[in-house]
Amino acid sequence: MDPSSLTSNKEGSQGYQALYDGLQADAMPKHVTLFLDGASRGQLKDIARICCDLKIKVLSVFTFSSGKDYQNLLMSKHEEIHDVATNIMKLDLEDLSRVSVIGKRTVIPDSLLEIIRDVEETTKKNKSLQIIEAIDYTGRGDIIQACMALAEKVEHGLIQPDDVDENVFQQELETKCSEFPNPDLMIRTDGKYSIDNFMLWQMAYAELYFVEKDDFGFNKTKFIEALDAYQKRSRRFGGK
Amino acid sequence: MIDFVCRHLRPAITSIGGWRASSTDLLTPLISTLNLNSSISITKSRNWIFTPTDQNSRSMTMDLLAESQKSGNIVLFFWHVIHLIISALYIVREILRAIESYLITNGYVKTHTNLNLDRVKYLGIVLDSDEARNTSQVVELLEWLSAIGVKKVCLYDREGVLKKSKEVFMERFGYAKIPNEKLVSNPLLSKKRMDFEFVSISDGKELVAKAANLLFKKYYVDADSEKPFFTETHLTDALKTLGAVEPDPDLLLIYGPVRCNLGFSAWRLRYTEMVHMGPLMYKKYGLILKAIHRFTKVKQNYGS
Repeated sequence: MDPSSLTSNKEGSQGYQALYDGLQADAMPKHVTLFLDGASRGQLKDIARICCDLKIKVLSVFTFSSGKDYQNLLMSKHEEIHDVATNIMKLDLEDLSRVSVIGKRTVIPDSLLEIIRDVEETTKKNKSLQIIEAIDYTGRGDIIQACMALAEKVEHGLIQPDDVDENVFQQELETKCSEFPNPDLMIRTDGKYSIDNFMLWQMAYAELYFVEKDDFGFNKTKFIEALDAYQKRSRRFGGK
Repeated sequence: MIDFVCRHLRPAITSIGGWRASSTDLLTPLISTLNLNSSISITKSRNWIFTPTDQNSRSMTMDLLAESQKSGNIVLFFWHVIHLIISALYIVREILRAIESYLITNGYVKTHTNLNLDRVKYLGIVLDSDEARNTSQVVELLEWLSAIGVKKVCLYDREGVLKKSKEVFMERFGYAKIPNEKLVSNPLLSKKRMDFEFVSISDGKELVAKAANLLFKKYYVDADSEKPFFTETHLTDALKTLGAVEPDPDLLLIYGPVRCNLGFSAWRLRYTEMVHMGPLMYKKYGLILKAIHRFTKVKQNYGS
């Protein structure tokens, strides 16, 4: 496998060439979901760079913390989205990533909302990688808001109730902001084996990769290992 | 196992004799070191075309071409050797898992003997539909679960193969009826009894869409009716109306070649722990005990 056929950024990827050997370009997941604990959060930039190099189109990130009350959790999420947004803009990539935020924006302060809109607007033309950051997002909440969106359409006569099926539902979920809304690979880094009410609908056929927690934390090498394990598995999306 | 090893050894052997290039980084510094005037381009088939622009260096470039061909093959050969070693490690891991299962099954590992089954109120089993057709394997799996003490099981396969075979399982593990329809009070049968739920893809996303339709027809079609803001309770109640009355599984054991939940009802997987157990034909009693034991030891935050 010629690693240079995988990479789009020659300067940034030289350090990772050895890691990419053995990966197949045509079997790369289009959308990867990452459950990051606080300790691994610092690896996000490196992982985003690898996704750009390997032409992974979407990286959705769910960050969880432990033991904080709701307000502290929300504040820490605010700091995190601010850090992620500004760090992404400083990344030395040929095409900067497009940042999208999903979740209930009603609980986010106006000042942070302004930053989010600014980052989304500034990065919307970038094509190489879309990073979807989840703030106050739940899978069931996403399904409910899709229900409400469709209910409004029914009320206005834009759609009949009997016309609502899986495909119509999918188009109303918050991941409609992405060309590839359904994750192909889900990686969880804290040793737990659940998806914690995240993208329930979208992850019906996602490969689940659970990483045991260790002292070294989740890093780019383990991310590549997860991609390698993904490529070794046969996926049939429920078919034969 | 031999076939598995050969499949990985063959590419390594092929790369020695065949023409396979590795990477630009290997050739470019080599060329610049020799200070040759030349260019390298890559065809669509990823073969190297080496075009010397200086006639005097043509013979040297041909030697270089042969050298780079050999070095490219050597690099690829070593990659395949490493790959083979890692594959061998996976084989060793499977052997160790089999040994671990044997030790657990025969009681040599004491920590797995006393399971707190109160934490596993509802166990889900996801099967690949092809594997679900092997009824004897499924029955054996259910016998093991029954022996462990699991009482409520949700059986899922995408195509509904298990739904079609449910009489087999109900007869084996449910209440037994004698011709005059009295329930048998056989203590052995009552010990084996398990409650089943059989689900398929139609109970997943399709059912959620139907539940949404129900809500739309109830509240949003009639212009005069009150139009509530939907909550999880609304959708849960609508799903119950359509027959989805069972709770969310606490633990989901996935059997099959693929590590995904194969479209199991998304609404019911909020905080369900999922463990991939491998192909059904290679199931091991000890590994089921291990998965349940591990689940009972995990602290569930349930989203907090």
